[in-house]
Order: sequence, then C-alpha cells, then structure tokens
Amino acid sequence: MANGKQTSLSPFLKSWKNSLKRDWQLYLLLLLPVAMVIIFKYASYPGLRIAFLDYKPALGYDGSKFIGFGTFQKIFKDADFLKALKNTVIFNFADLIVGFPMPIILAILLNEIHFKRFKKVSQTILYLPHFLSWVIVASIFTQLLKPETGLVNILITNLGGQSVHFLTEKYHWAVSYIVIAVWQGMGWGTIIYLAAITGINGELYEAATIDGAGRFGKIWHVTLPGIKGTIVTLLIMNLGRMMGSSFERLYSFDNVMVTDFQYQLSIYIYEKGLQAGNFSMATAVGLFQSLVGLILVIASDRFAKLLGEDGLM
Amino acid sequence: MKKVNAKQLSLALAAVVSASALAGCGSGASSSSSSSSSAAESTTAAQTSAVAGIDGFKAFDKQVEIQIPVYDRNVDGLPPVDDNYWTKWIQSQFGDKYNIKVTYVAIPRTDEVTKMNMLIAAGESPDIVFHYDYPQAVAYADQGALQEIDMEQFKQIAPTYYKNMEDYGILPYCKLNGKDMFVMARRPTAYNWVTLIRQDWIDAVGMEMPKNYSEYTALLDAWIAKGLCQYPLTMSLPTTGYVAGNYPFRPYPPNEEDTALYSDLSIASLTWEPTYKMLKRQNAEYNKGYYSKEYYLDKDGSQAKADFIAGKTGVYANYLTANSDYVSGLLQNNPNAKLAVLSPYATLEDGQVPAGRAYWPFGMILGFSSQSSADETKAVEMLLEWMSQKDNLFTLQNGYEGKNYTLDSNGLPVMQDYQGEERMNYNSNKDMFCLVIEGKDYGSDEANLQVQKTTYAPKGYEYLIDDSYKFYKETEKYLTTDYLFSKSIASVAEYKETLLSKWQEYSVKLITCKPDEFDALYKQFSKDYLDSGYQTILDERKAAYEESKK
Repeated sequence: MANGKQTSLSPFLKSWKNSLKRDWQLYLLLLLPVAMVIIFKYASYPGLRIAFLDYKPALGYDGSKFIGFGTFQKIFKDADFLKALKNTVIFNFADLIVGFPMPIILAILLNEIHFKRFKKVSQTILYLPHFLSWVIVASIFTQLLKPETGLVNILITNLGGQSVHFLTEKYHWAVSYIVIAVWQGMGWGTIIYLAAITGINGELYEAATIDGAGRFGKIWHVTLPGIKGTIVTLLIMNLGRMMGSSFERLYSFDNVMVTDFQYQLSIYIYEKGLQAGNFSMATAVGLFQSLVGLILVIASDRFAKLLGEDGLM
Repeated sequence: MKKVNAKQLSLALAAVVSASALAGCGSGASSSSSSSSSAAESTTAAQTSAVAGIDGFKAFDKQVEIQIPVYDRNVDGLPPVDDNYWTKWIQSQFGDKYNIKVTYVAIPRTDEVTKMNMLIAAGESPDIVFHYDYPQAVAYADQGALQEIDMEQFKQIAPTYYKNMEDYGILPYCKLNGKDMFVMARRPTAYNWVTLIRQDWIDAVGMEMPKNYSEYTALLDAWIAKGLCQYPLTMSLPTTGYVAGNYPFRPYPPNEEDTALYSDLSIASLTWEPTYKMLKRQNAEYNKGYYSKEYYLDKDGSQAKADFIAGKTGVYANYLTANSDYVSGLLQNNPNAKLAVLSPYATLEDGQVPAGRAYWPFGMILGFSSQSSADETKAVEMLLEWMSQKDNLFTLQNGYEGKNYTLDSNGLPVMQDYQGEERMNYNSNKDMFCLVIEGKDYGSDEANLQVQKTTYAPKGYEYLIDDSYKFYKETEKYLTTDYLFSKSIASVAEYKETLLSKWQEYSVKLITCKPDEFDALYKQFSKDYLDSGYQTILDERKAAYEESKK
C-alpha cells in the first residue's frame, strides 16, 4: 500500500522531497530569514487597510469608518506632501548619481592594489563607517561642523577664512548630507563588486595582456564588462528605493534651517502620521511609496531585459 | 528573485499590528475586550458596599491589574521611574490590600504623545491616559481613547477626590461636549519657575536690578562691553506652541475673544499682533548679539543650561528644585557667582504690564482608557481615592520623618538631602502624586511658601523662592487664564504637530534674519502658516466661541 501511494505522488512533490532530504541543512538555515520576511513584511499586510479607513486606534479596524480613497485625496492636495515628494525624488536621484558609481570605482581601485596587507587595512577602514548608526554619524558631524563652535569652523576662522554653514544652510546641507552618506556607505558597497571581480576568469586578463592592453585597458575591457551584470542588478534594486527615504538619516541631520530640503517623505510620515496619531495618513503614504517603488523595479527590470541583460525577475 | 522594496513604515506598522494581534496572548496585558464579561463579575467584587470612600473598599476576589502612566524625565542618577521604592510602596500599602496589581508604565516626558498613541494603537493603553494640556487631553477623547466617566460611581468610590474637584471649581472643566470625560488633579500655586540672573555681574558693572526694558538692555550691553559673557541671554529651539514671551505685548485688560482665538499652549500664534511684536524685539536682540548664533541647534535646552553653568551667559529660566544641577554646576565653575531672580518688570516697555499666563485650577488631566474593563476602572478610582487620603499623600510627597524630612516648629516638613533606600524620585515624587495634586498644599500661602523653600530651593538659596513669591504676589492680578472651550476643537489635534514644526522653523528664521528682511519674511511665513491649518483652527475656534456666547 505504501508503494502504491509513493508512485501516486506527482513528480514535482517527489523531486521536492528528494531535495529536502539532500539539502535539509540549507533549508533549515533558510527558515529564519523566511520567517522574518513573513512576520515583518507579509503579516503587516492586513494592517494596510487602515489606509482606506478613518482609523481611530481606540476603535480598532472594525469600529473605524471606511472612507475609500479619502485619505489619498487629502494627501495629494497637501502642499507639504508635494514638497516632501519633490525633495525625496531629488535627493534620492542625487544619492544615486553620486553614490552609486563610488563603490564600483573603489572596488576597482582596491582590486588593483597588489600589496595584500595594505589592501586589507584599507578595506577594513573603508567598511567601518557602515557599522556606525546614523544617529552617531550625525552627532559627530553636527558637532564638528557647527558654524561657531565646531572644530572645522574654528580651524577655518583661525586660518583667516569665513565660517561655513555646512549643516545649517540648505544648499551646503544638501552637499554635506549626500557626501557623508557616500563616505558612510561606499566601503560596504564594494563587497559585492569585489566578489564579482573575483569571479572573472583570470585567463581573460592574460589574453588582454598578450593583446597589449595596459592597466586601464584591462579595467575597461575586462573588469567592467565582467561585473556589468552585477552593476545592472544593483542599479535595479537601487531604483526600487527611489521613493524610499531613510527616516533615521534625515531625522538625525535635522535642524530648522534646512527644513526646506530635509522635509522628505519619512519626515512627513513621522510628523503627520505618527506624532499626530494619524495612522491612516502614515499608512497611505507608505503604501504609495511601496507601489511607486514596485513599479520602478518592474519597469527598470523590463528595460534591462530590453538591453539584453538578465534583470531581476 | 522577487523583492518588494523595503517600506519605511512597514517595521513600525508591523510592530503595531503584530503587537495588537498578539496582545491577546500576553499574560499580564490588560485585556481590551473583557469589559462586558468582567462587568458582570464585578458585582461580586469591590464597591458594592453602601459606604462611600475608602472605608467601603473591599479586596477584589480575583486580582485586578492596573497600569498607571508615569513620566520619565531621563534624570541621571535616579532609580527607574517604573520600578523603585515608591512604586513598591504603593503596591505594598495599597495594591496588596485590595488584591490589585499596580504596574507603572514609563512615558518619556519629551515624546509623551507619540508613546501614548503607540500604546493605545497597540491595544496596550494604560488605564489612565493623561496630559497636562487640555487640548491634547481633548484629542485623546476625540480619538476614542477615553471612556465616559460614570460620575456617580466616581463620587461613591472616590469622594475625597471628588470633593476636591468640587471645592476648587474643577468639576465644570471635566465635561466635554456635555459628557463627563475627565477627572483632574488640583493645582496649588508653585513659585519655583524662576528666571535667574547673575547678581555678581550686575554688581560688576555697578548697576542695579533693571526695572524696565531700557535699563535691562543697558545692563546687557554693559556686560557685553565688559566682556563678562559671550552672549547675555539664553535661548533654545521652542519645543511647544506656547508663546510665553508675547504676554507683555498683549493689550491689557485682555480682550476675551482674542484670548480665545490665539492664546494657547499647543498652537503658536504666529500671525497675532503681540507675537509679531515679540519676534521683532527678539530679532533686534539677536542682531545685537544677545543670543548664541547657534541657539536653534539646541533642541532640548541642554546647551542653554550648559552655557549658563559655564558662565557664558547670565540669564537663565528653569524650574528650581532642591537638587538643581545648574546651580551646583555654576558654583563649581564660578565659586563667586551670585544669583537673583530677574524682576518681571525688566522686559517691560512703557505702558506694558507684567502680564502672564494664569494656571487653571487643575493640574494633570486624567481620562480613563476605553480599553479598561469595569473592574480596572474601579481599581483606578480606588487608587486615586487612596492617594488623596491625607496621610498617604503626605508620605508620598515627603517620605519618612528623620530620613527624607524633619518637622519644623510649625509641624511643616523640611526636606533633607537623603540618599538612602527610601529616597524620593524626581522632585519629591511629583510624577507619581501628580495624579491627585500638582504640588504640596498645607492650607495657607505662608505654610506652602515655607515648604516650597525646602522642597524647591537648594540649600542657601531659599531667598530665591521668597523673591519669586514676592514677584508672583505683585503681578498676580495681571495673570490671565486661557479661554477654555467646552467643545473639542478637532482641527487642533490634526494640525498641532505640523504647526509646531513650522513655528520652530519660522520663528528661528524670523529671529535670525537681518532686520530689514523681517517684515517681508513675516508676511510670507504668516500666509503659509495660515494655509497649513492655522486658519482652519481660527475659524473653528471663532465659531465655537460665538456659539458659547449665545
């Protein structure tokens, strides 16, 4: 009887069973991250309906009134939302333009270093800022860059210069804000590219050398094409974050002089949604961000495929 | 690989959602849906006795757990606010006797509304939802976070508390839109909000305590000329919409309608004439170098305090308490520093009166959570009544004789600097006893003054409380309360946070701009401020005000 049952299993189930038997340790390892995703991403989905309710926490989901797209209509008419949206798009775009190529350049530079110990030390130093939270990074830079009492400006004025409002004048702030993020993230970003570079067949370099390629020739004709797929994949993932905005980063670099630029979607959500207790509004904006992000990811994936790349999906 | 991008909010919401989903599994959490079943059971429990008040209290058959909020002010060197000698004292003296488990929930003072909203949203609301500002208390009620209070039952269980509200004229304020929504602690006058000035610097330039604004500015200019300070005044980023500085610029006697529309703790009156005049003066002061050029980076007043302690600046306002670190710190840095209370006349120009905000007769505003069961509400009412008993309150406010205090010849407590196990929490346990009363009250102004001197003043600085009392009595007649609407102004809760962040931005930009740019900026900001919700609030207030006058 057992045999009869065995044969009635579909081929799919059978192969699944086999691979489970073979690789059960790997599946066990997978369990935790999958549980994380389910609990923290999917389990919150039912909560998304508060975007369509006039949600009052004390009344709960069932007690709150259904208002359809009312919250969305209100948000899209709100001048503050439009300001936040504009800032978010501009700053994410600037982050992308300035921040995206840096790890690639850095990875190639690191790859060209042949003195092993120096390479290791440089890598470690470059990774370090990634492990500092934004709160710490921001408080250090805020202290250093204060207009009157910051170390940097004391130095500048003592050398006879004018004090610079690095973080307290909006255009200076924009530059500092982006540059600090590049400093913080570029080292960590090199890891994936360095791994991809390691995967390039060494014979290609030999062949290039024989063909008379110099250092730059090899970078241009071997290394870069070798990591093109990785670059495209990461670019697509980054495009998905165009609508996102890091609350921690924005909030820690906050001061009233730069609100014009610093007021981005996460700040909007925090101020109008969480502080004012308007959870419907917060959820609606969050949902909007996610939808736009999803559309961007799908669109850029299609585009990548049109260019003959693998894409994400 | 399919990857949905990381939603900024998903974490926070997931936490909220899963917390509310899991709340049912929590063993200790006050259950939010059990009110109907426990209401039936409660007939067998406490308070069926016909005797009103504490003599009629009976222990609950089944243990009831109540959650009481307590402010966490993040003061260094004190035990946790939710677990210390005095929370255990409440449990052993009150809780164990009536089979009630009293759990304290720490609420960060600087972020209380966000924290409270999170708890309410997660279905873990404390059984008391409180706030000092009436508009915010109303906002909680509007959200549905509060239950209507059965005043007959309250009177039966907590007659002492009720009588206090009756005697001090608080009862009328407890009604919102015709329903009983709040009970309120009473507020005896405290004299410990002081603006301190460096008397040794006044002496150093051979001047006297200024009696008007021109003398005041002459003094400050003399300080600057003599190089005594880096900048004479302290200033930091505003953290509420309360514009205390515009009182001298208000017409006197005040116009009631203007007060109703513009005078408020939560929404700054940017577009009101007196506020314009105040900002204009502050702009002039800033440009004369009276404030730190970086003052707006000081979000919690800590830099201002540090500047005063370091002797960079000579005027500083704060609550005075027996262990005020800014007094001890200043003396450590400048052993010769002498302090005086700044005269309230120093900021006045010709024709202005020392006006200011008068408190309402109530302090803390308490609502009972709509998530509480009938038994939990009863237990909370029992706690309030128990704390209102003279002996219990006296111990909670003063500790033990011979340790925390000694008695003077009049039988009044004199607070001691006691650091043993039974030491008091911040400000003589104020954040615990604020549920029933906002300060210590021993029957007369003189007695209260005596007690406040040892409660609020560091040793050797009792004269500061004396001076503050003297100034208070002189100016008392010019103080006015804000107008209190008996109807909720819904737009206040909606726009409060937005308008606060705009007020922070605009007031700073107006104060720090060049004087000739001031008026153009003011016009531009006023328009934007009105468009961002202030106009809606003004319209709603005006309608409510006119309706109340019919």
